[in-house]
Amino acid sequence: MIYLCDQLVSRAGEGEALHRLYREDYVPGAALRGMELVHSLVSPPFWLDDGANLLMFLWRLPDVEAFWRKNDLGRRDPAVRDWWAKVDRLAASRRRDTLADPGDFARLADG
Amino acid sequence: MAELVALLTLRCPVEEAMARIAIPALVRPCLPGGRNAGDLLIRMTVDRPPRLEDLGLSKDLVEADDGALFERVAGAGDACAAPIHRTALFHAVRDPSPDRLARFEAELAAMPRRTDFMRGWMLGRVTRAWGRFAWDYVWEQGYDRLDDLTGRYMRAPCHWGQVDRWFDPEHPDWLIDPHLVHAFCRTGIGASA
Repeated sequence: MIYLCDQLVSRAGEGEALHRLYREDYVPGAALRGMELVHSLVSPPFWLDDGANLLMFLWRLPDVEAFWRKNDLGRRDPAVRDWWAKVDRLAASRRRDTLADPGDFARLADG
Repeated sequence: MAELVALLTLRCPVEEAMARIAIPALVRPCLPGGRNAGDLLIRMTVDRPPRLEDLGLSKDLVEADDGALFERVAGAGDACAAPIHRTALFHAVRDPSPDRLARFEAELAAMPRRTDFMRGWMLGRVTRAWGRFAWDYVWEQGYDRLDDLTGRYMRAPCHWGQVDRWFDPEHPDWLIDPHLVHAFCRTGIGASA
């Protein structure tokens, strides 16, 4: 299993709007590209109107083939790239990490 | 001397073009499965870039010509000396700051030591580019078998789990234009599956 973790820090007071944008506009398309949303978490656990919320979305993909399929579909669609530009108007910063369980390392490398 | 790679899309049969080119170079048909690869891969070391006419070709035989002159940034061995040769051309299109380019180069150049199936390899910085994009990098490797490139390279965790983010327009570190060249050929050296 491969995990992708998006962490987005909202601009002050934009946490709820950023969360809505992600859930409503990104999640459905990502699911069609084979990504399964495992967790959607927010810190602190209430919407700040005078500060930044940290939004964390954890996704999983079954194997390396699914990872490349997701990339291929996303990179063919200019709307996906344009959508991230919208995110950057509500987010002060973001990161995406690719992770796996160490117990899966050999299986993922061997295919 | 400079390194040269060219990918030609031909208006004539590939065998006819290969028969016309009588210079010391790797001149081989591109295998199916590449991206923006064209029909013919040419790889050579030159003191000045040849014109199509110098290669024995003419513009009426060539529909498109993508290529670059480049200088080695890092490498080991000879990327053209294994049964399979692969070349990729990249254009750093988003925020190509010196710091980001240095990190990209370092991660790409670390891939051969994180895997055990790349034979010779070279990462080159482009000094002159022609064709569809303003190419910035040439990334080439040699492989013993086609599956080492199409299978093992794609499954390498340092590829999908680390380096790929530079190529991903969804990733905040995105750097490289998705319209890249990925081409590979049989060199005629050894036997390759």
